[in-house]
Amino acid sequence: MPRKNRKREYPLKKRAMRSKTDKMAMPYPVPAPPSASSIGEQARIEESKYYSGVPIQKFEAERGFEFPYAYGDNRIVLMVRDPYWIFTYWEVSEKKLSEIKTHLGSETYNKCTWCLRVYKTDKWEFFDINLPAMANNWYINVPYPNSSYCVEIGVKTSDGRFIAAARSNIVTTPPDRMSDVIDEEWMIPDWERMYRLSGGFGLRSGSESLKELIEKRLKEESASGWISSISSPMKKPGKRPFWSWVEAELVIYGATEPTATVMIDGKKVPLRPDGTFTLRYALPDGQQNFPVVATRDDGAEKRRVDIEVERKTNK
Amino acid sequence: MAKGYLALALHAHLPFVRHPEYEDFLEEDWFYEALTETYLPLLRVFEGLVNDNVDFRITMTISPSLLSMFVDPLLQNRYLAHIDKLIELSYKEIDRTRHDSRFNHLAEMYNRKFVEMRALFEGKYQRNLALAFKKFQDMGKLEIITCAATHCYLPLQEIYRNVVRAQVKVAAVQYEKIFGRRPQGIWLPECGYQPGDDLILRDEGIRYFIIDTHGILHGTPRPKYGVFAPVYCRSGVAAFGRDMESSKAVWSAVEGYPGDNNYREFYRDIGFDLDYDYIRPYIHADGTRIPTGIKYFRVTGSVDLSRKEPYVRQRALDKAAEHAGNFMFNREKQIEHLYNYFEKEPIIISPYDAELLGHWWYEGPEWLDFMIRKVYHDQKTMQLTTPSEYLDQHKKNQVVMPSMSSWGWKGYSEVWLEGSNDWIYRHLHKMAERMIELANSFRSADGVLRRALNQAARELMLAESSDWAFIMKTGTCVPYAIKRFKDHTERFMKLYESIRSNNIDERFLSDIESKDNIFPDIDYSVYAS
Repeated sequence: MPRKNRKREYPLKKRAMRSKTDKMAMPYPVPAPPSASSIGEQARIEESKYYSGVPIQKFEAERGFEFPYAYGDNRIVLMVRDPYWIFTYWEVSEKKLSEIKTHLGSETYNKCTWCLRVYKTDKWEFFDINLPAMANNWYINVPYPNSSYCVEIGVKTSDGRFIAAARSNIVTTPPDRMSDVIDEEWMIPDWERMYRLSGGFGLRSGSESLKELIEKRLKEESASGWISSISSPMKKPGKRPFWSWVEAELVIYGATEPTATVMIDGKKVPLRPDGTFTLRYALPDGQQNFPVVATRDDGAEKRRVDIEVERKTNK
Repeated sequence: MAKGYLALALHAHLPFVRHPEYEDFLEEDWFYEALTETYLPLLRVFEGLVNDNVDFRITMTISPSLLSMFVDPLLQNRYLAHIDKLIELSYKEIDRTRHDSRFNHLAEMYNRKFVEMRALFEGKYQRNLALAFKKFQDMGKLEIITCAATHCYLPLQEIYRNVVRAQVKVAAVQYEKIFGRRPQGIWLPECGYQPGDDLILRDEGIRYFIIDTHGILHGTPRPKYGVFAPVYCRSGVAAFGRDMESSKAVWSAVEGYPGDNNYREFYRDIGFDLDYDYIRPYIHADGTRIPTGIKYFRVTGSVDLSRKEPYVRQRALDKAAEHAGNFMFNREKQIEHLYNYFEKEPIIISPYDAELLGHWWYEGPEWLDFMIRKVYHDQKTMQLTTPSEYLDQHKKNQVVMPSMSSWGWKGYSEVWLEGSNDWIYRHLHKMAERMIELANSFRSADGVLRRALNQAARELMLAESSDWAFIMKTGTCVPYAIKRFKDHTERFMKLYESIRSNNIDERFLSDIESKDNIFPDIDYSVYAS
């Protein structure tokens, strides 16, 4: 019974449809090395909006709410991810399940496999994906961009009969290239050139045309999996090289009558109610002089102390 | 006569983060930092341009959730407290660094900036930045466009058209209330376009949207002018495509401006560097070190954070001016080339996240300022424009159905639909189904029931922010994104049950109304079929 909510646990092996896109099919999620592609860079910058410098935060569970594991529905929903992948989630109700069991008889049912039947809706050709137990969602690799698909969740008997429990909505994948439709009225001959121009001359010096860039984006070869690896560079896990830094500060502190005035280096220092004071300075290399002058509130008496400090850093 | 047009578009958005139930809430800092580093500095740039009689055109999204935060008194007050603390810290820094010539002038720079931003916020703009931006729109310099109400990524809501409609409608209503006119354009969140969504835009009187390059290039039929002229969807709504060259110049780490070694380094901050006892009052209330906004180092190169070199302000400003000149020069070349090829004036659309300027790229607002001044004074090849101004002047355009696309990584929906976040859609769709069901069964409600229905609509919308899925994917502050998704789901489900069982807990309702107070005028019937 394919019902358990698997959330982020993915079956590592996914059977994709045999097609020319087969080499693109890969286990999910895709581990990929960091890359500085401009596409990834954009997400890195967007991410900085949400940067708070604290990678791991915990929140108290509010009243212990848990997401329901199913809503008691009998439905399957299909969504488009990109020209080559569609995503589906489903649940099969107890009622539907017992109908199917009754229809097949429990002996036949027990030998059944749950599967997804994926239709390309122009001619209703289909292929099946056998599901592991407990699955309740699936990414499906589809062969044709710019095409409409629909899926059914159901059981397949050992002799190959398919009994659907639910049918999804129909979705259309986007095209992955220029349209073949050329508006007569507007046509200009050099389409390739137009395409190149729109790719921007930033690419002109070099290497990639927009076409290649887009293809790369789609075909996952430039996949910069770094998105998931960058969080705060403060906490980069793993291979970070050893690092350290040292700085020095000077703390000058003292006390006097709470009503007195204290000047350090010509600048008035705020006193705490008990007459104590503390100041800290960044201390660069070289010699520094800190004259400290305390004056009584009536101005009748003054004390001066000079502190000379020298910092020498040897690396 | 100019040979072409440049339309700069800044997309300003933050998710609605407001936690009256906590004294000090870390994620609210996203908003405060963006105020100090992006929104107020941008306004200062606009003020300067107007004072110097430099004519300009900029298109800017202010997302409805950000707009809600701009006008929220609690967040306004908290921002004042936040900037006051920063000003206090900057004075201490001036003292602390007075013998360190590398950093002392930087401490003074931050101090001046914070004091100035506070004065703009509290004095000049009376705490309300919505009205500050409106002023420039009313002058004809700025075109403010709207966005989906809570920045919902629309292509993944394909099965519920009412969700898309509600996101657009609620945004347009809020826009009209605050800006006194209907929005001309919309920024589809993450440039996520699904063919057919333009019909919903048309119904709200929205004339155009912005889409990524391949959304236009892969449209049907082929677009004659590529992304250098807008196209009309069948509905009559225009789509403007992003130009890749100008995009790359700013977004890319390799070739882009913000990665220059002279610019300020984002991640090295005194909140992490300085002695704990000293910095303690200026970091998170629970004692966790967080960035303060005072950063003394420059990008330097690809070296470890500990090896960064001190920031030199003048060098960074010189670079920003140089990059502004470079940007202008490249656009001129681009436009001349296209003009000769097309025999008509191209339009170049350059969209960026607003927060990129100032927050991520500290010198971004100065770059923008230099660039606009140069475009105004130093050249005649191009003219700044906004999409609606362009459409007023160029009514005839090709009819093309753009293709489904986004500006996210790989160009489609993968960022928001992958292993880390795909589990949310089961719940989002269920909530949508239930909201539609409620709206259809209670055609006219009043009193507590009406309040509960309206609040259910708010909770659903807040759960729909694309930010949560994005954060789950990128891995920054994931627990917060999950908490938010969970809170809104729980609140929605509880409201739904209580409405259905005719047993509304008014105390609970009042409590969440005061927390999730976005869109005070929302009308749940936008979800009715």
